[in-house]
Formats: sequence, C-alpha cells, structure tokens
Amino acid sequence: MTKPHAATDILIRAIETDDYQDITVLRISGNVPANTLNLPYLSPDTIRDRLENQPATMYGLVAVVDERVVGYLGMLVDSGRQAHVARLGMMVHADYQGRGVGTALLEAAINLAENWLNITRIALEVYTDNEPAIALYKKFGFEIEGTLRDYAYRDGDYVDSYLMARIRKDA
Amino acid sequence: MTATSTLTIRGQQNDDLDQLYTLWSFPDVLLDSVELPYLSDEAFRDRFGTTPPHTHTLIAEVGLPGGRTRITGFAWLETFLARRRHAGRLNLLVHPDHQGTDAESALLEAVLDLADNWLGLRRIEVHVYIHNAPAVALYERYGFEIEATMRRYALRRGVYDDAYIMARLHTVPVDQHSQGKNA
Ligand SMILES: CC(C)(COP(=O)(O)OP(=O)(O)OC[C@H]1O[C@@H](n2cnc3c(N)ncnc32)[C@H](O)[C@@H]1OP(=O)(O)O)[C@@H](O)C(=O)NCCC(=O)NCCS
Repeated sequence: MTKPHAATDILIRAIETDDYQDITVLRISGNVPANTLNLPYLSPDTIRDRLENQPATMYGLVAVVDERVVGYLGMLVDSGRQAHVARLGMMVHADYQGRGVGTALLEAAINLAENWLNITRIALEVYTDNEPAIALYKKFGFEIEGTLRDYAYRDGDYVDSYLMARIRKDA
Repeated sequence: MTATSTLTIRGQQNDDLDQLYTLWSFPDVLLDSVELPYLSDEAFRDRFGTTPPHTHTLIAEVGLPGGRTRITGFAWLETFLARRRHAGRLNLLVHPDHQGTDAESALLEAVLDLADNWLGLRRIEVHVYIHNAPAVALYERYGFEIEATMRRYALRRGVYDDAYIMARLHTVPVDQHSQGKNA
C-alpha cells in the first residue's frame, strides 16, 4: 500500500546547531505542542542554546525532506544502574505527518540504540489520546506499561500519559 | 532503636554532608534506589552540597545520648517545569535500622505536607522495585497507587529488575475568595 503523499527521499542524520530554526518551526507547528511537552511559543534562541549545550548522552536525529528539517527525535541515554535505558521524544512538522517521516526516524533511533549503544530498554511517554503516535510505537514493538495520571497540562486541563517501552528481543 | 521521641525533620544544613555520606555508604540504603556506591567525596558534594532551585531536601534526625544527633534518613523532592510544574518526583533514603519506623513515616509525611500545603503539587511519583513490598505498602498507606510496571528498570544485585511507578494525586482546594468572585 503506497501513501498518497509518501515522501520519497527522507534523509536521517545527526542534529546540528544550525538546524535550530527549522526545529523551532516544527516544534510549534500545528498539533505538535498539543501532543508533546512543547509550549506554543518558543524562541529560536532557546533552541540554539539547548543544541549548543546538549549533554553527551543526548542523541539527536533529524529527518530532512526537500532540504528542510521536518522531523526531530531526541534520545537520552541514562547512566549508572540505568545505563541500559534510553528515553526518547519525537515530533514531525504538522505539514509532513503521515508520510513515513516518523517511521524513518524511529527505525534509525532503535538501530542506533540497540545495535550500536547496546540499549535494552527504550522508554517514552505518550498522551493516551494520541492514536497516531501510539500506533507508530506499537508498530515498532513498544508496549504500554501503564497510565500516568495528570501527567502534563495541556490547553487548560490535565492529560494522562501512557508509559510505553520496547525491550530488545534478546534481553 | 527507640530514640524516636527526639525525632526532628528539618531542611539541609551546611555541615550535614559528612553524615549524609555515611548514610550513603550503607549498601542496604542504596540497594532499593538507582544510586551507585563509592561516590567520590567531590561527586557527592557536587550533587548534594548545594540544592538546585527546584529540589527540596528534607532530613530526618534522631537525638542520641549526650546531645549528639544522627541523620537517619533523607528525602529529596524534585519538581518539574512548565507543563509539568504541578508534578514532582520523590526519592527517599532511610538508614537500614530505621526503615519501617517513625523516622521513615515522619519523613514521608513532612514531604507530603510540603508538597500539598506549601508547593501545591498535584502529582508526586516514586519509583519502587516490584519486590520491595515494604516500600510499596508504605506508599500505598499514604495514598500512592501503582500506575505502571517498568520492565528492566535498573540493575539491582546484578539483575535487571522491574519497578513500579507509584503516584499520589492531590487536589488543591479552590480558594474561597476567588470562588466567590467567579460565582
Ligand atoms: C506521531 C508522529 C511522530 C508520527 O510521525 P509521522 O511521520 O506522522 O508517522 P508515519 O507517517 O511514519 O506513520 C507511522 C505510523 O503512525 C501511524 N499513523 C500515522 N498517522 C496516523 C493517523 N492519522 N491515524 C492513525 N495512525 C496513524 C500508523 O501506524 C503509521 O504506520 P503505517 O503507515 O505503517 O500504518 C507525528 O505524527 C507527530 O509528530 N505528531 C505530533 C507530535 C507527536 O505526537 N509526537 C509524539 C509524541 S509522543
């Protein structure tokens, strides 16, 4: 089954500081704030500052379509007794959703985590009403581990999250 | 131990670090956390020497004969930011001799009082290994509920152990005055 507007060329690469403007735009686009922890107003300076001061265990991937950064996935690897654990968050520009960008980003992140960083648990939180995202995560073997009540505040009310995690096959 | 009559719950003081470091050196204290033993003095000082603005540290201390005191537990409550600023995560470390005693419950009660009545937090969560039945029971007694089971949460005695996320919700009563204005 081919998608109506499937993006033919999606390049996944490591994030660069120079991506801060595209990242700012995608973070506040359309439904992205409502489905993440992003606020609806965001300064590019804040994003540039964050990118310049990433912790060493933060792995940022971006998806490039038409020479524009339209997707972002951030993965933070824990340390010490949780050095086998990574946590991730991701978002695709509202105009580019449903074309395989999220799939390409998540596939790359899982490969990086499990086959190169030797991570055996990848965890994330997703609002319980975010069906597209939940479907994407299930497609990649993430399972719901529980419901976190009143996890965040969104557009005037508290919203629950699922905790979802993928355990590496051999673990 | 029966020194609970002189139990004090207080904020952190400058000269607490040595005693806190001693508490940190009991393997049994760290076992049920995600913390590592053998922290260098410097690393410990970096971490607990100054309290970050959104973290609240509480100390439980008992009096000993001769006027000396001993720290029997410490708790730190980390509150989140922006769209999660109604929420926080609690860590509790209690000396093995004082686990399950008043020193532990008084410390937890003080944290909850701070969260409910001073910070107005709505959600407090803790991470508890699923085999740590006494801790699960303690938190349940104070209104925490199991929300999720995290598989392979952390290494504990050489095994990747599962842990619960337990959370307690508290609703801050609507202020009388503003209720009147809105009516
Ligand atoms: C969730 C998100 C990251 C997915 O990225 P995407 O590029 O839109 O997803 P894809 O096109 O790769 O689709 C991946 C899967 O998502 C699911 N999906 C996508 N759009 C969907 C929709 N409208 N309804 C239901 N499921 C949908 C499908 O399972 C799809 O897999 P399939 O095409 O093989 O069936 C993206 O939509 C997004 O950024 N949304 C807003 C922010 C957000 O929700 N971030 C995640 C927070 S946890």
